Amino acid sequence: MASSTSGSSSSSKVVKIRSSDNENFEVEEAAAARSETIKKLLEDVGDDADVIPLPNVDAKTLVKVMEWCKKHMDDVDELNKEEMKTWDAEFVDMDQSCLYNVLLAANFLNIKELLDQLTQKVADMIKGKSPEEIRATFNIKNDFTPEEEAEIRKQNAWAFE
Amino acid sequence: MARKRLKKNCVGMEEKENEPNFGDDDLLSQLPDSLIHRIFSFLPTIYFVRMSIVSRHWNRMWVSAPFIYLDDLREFNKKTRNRDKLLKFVSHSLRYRKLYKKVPETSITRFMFHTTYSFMGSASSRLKGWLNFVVQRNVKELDLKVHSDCVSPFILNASSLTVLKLSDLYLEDLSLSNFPCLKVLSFKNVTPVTQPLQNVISSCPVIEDLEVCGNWVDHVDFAVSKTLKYLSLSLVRFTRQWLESLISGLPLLERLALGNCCDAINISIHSHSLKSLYYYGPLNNISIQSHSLKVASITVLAEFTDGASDVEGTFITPNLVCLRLVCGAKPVISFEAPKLLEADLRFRKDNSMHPNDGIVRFLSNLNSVKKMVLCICEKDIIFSENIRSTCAPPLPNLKHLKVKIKDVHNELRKSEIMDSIFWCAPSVETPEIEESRDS
Repeated sequence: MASSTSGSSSSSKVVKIRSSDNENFEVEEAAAARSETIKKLLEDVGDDADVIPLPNVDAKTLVKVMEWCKKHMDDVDELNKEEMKTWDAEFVDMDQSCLYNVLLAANFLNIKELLDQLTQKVADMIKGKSPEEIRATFNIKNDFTPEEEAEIRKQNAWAFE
Repeated sequence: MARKRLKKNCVGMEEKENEPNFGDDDLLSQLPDSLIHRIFSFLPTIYFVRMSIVSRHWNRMWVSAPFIYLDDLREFNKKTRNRDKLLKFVSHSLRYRKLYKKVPETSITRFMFHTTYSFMGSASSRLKGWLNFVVQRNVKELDLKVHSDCVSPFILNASSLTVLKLSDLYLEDLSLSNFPCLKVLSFKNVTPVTQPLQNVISSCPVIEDLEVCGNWVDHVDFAVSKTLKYLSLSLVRFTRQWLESLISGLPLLERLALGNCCDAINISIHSHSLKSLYYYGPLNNISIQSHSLKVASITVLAEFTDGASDVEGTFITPNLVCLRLVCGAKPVISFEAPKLLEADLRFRKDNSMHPNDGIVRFLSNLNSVKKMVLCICEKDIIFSENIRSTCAPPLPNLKHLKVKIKDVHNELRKSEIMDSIFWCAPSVETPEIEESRDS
């Protein structure tokens, strides 16, 4: 079985988590606890925890999420705010399928700050675009007939004028 | 309508689902409603309304949006922007929600209305109608930025609020206000500030976050519930004693920000809970005693202080980790901060009239620092033989140093600076020198 280790440089407490595709990860507890879901599970099982299974998150996504958690492990370092902003902007700059996977994982793992960053990223992709551009960006199929589309445009004229 | 959904309500860990088929699919439409609403909470509601035309899935989805965000619609009204368009949009969208029976009445979490148009006099009746609509639906978060005088009665009735942000409003009597659940309160350029502010704050028993941005109005004098964690005051006038007693009465206060509070040129803070402090404005003397403080960021505006003296002060902060200090050239501050690791120091003026041993003395205060950014004049960082023979190197533990040299007129004396840096910080591993364009 494949196994990855991250955060081995620090001597702080390490927890084990398992992805939906049965890959085990060792993560510093402080990083893993950025997830309210994991934090609660850890509190429930106490020190007896062997491996925390995360059946909704695959290994590829979990690596991404834990990368974020590790970076955001400590109290926000005020002097590195700018650096952090740049890092966050680069982090959320990923292809769409990856973005949605991480978004769903952040939702399931209940990591509010990450969820905010990712939803904000999707909002930024919508901002300033016409309905046609939105269809193209997100691969949304227009399943209206031309007549239906005209009708909706008419009904909602107050938003399209 | 049957909707294909992925991992909807991912709360139970038991439910396993098949791998989502992510290819060239329309992935956005497959997200759960809660995430869609979260995404659109960042955008003016008109974007969500206009999604109706994108596909059947999106048609009317906005009607149940828990977050309503109304703005001036600038992006969609480049040519014919006017207030009537906004009125029409808001009236229609709220009427749709009213008519659409499937939407539960309590569905509005946040109502945000930011406009540059004035809603005074007769125009205020429209706004009254909207506020009535959302307040009746037990709105939790109200965020209004509008020139208007009609909101007081609605705010008084909104006892379900957890967040109240008011900007640019004219408020009447709020003495009967009652906000048992309010956690976040923000007053910006609200007039008159003193009375409404005192009334509202005293009716918030569980408040955690308070922000007041004044307009150079009267002295404020309010008491805040002991539950407060974050306090931000800017352009507000108060006395030193008032602030001192306020802070000492807030056992949970974690973050304090003071911006341009001109009467507060001498401040003294004692706190067992404060973790971060931000100060921006004129400052003569600062005295801080706090075992909990980890981050301090002090920007001293020079134009208000007289030229002879620079900021003076005392930090008794044994757990301080990060310090940012922007000031003139001769800060006289003593630090008891043995755990300080990072410092960002910006000396604005040059120190031409004085020998730079004062800077050596100041830096030796910070001898535990490992990482430093130092913005300084060239001649203030080049230490003379005389200083080097009489003083000990001030920064023995420094590993990473970036020196930004300002006001470079001629060729940068890089080798001399480097030589001086190595005397100043003998263990430095990564010295960097650059010319600074910061003023």
